[in-house]
Amino acid sequence: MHHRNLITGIILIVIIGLLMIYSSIGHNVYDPDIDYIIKNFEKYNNTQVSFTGEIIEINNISNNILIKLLEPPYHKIIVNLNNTKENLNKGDYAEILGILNGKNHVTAEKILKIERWKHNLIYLRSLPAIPFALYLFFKTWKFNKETLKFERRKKNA
Amino acid sequence: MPDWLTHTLTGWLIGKTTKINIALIVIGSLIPDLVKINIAFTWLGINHLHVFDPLHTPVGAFLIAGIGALFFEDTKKAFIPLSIGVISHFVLDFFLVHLSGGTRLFFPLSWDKLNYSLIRSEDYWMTICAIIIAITVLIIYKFYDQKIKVFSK
Repeated sequence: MHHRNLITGIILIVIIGLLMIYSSIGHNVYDPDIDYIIKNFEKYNNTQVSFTGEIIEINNISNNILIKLLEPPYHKIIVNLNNTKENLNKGDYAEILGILNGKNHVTAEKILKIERWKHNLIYLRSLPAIPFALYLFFKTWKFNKETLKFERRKKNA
Repeated sequence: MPDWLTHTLTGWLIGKTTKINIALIVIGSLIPDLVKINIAFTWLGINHLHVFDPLHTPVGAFLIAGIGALFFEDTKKAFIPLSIGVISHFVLDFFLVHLSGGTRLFFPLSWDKLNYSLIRSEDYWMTICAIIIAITVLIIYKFYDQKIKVFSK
């Protein structure tokens, strides 16, 4: 690889590294996620929060659902549905927008339901894209180990 | 996110109709979703601390496109189609329905998430439409290619 390219590459990697550090440090300040909010719940009590998770329990008597967050440490949050009319099923995924009014309690204002099979289908129909993209790429380009660069294949030149 | 098939087919359509390097546009259309490295960390039970989030912002994705372009003979010529792919990704993502905002289009200057709620991410009709349009365009191009060959004989 040419020296100029190497220096450019290092600069770009450093910039992206700094952005990653900034994202990690600044996230809890500018856009705290629900895990951080639960840990510091006194600070965020009675504020609007949003999160996504899997519905693991439905209580029709109290009109509550129990949501398991999708990311570690997989907190569970009770969501009250009195202000919404969404028809939810156990196993479905839901994006919740609501008011935090307890350490693990949110009163939902809006719910976006994603049925489990439709959620899984997103990943399933993403799979063909990988061989498709790789086929298109390697049909046109080949890697030259000596120059460390991709070169156009002759028939596609 | 719309699924990757929709992203790649959109990239393919842009490349096919504009005669710009199809393969690199398609690869570029997937660059912002490198953020899905997060999923691997989640599976391993490790908190990723939002380290990879900048990859799903225009600045981060263009930087990755720039790094990728350095591995081609003509860096500028590779960077343009990769960037077109990146832009197509964010245009599609902009129209996704979210309750809490969409993509941080102006990160690191702003943490605001922007979107125009139009299409739900799980809506498979978007993928079906993309497949139908791609097949139609492919047939049209095959038809015209054959016609040109007949005339040139």
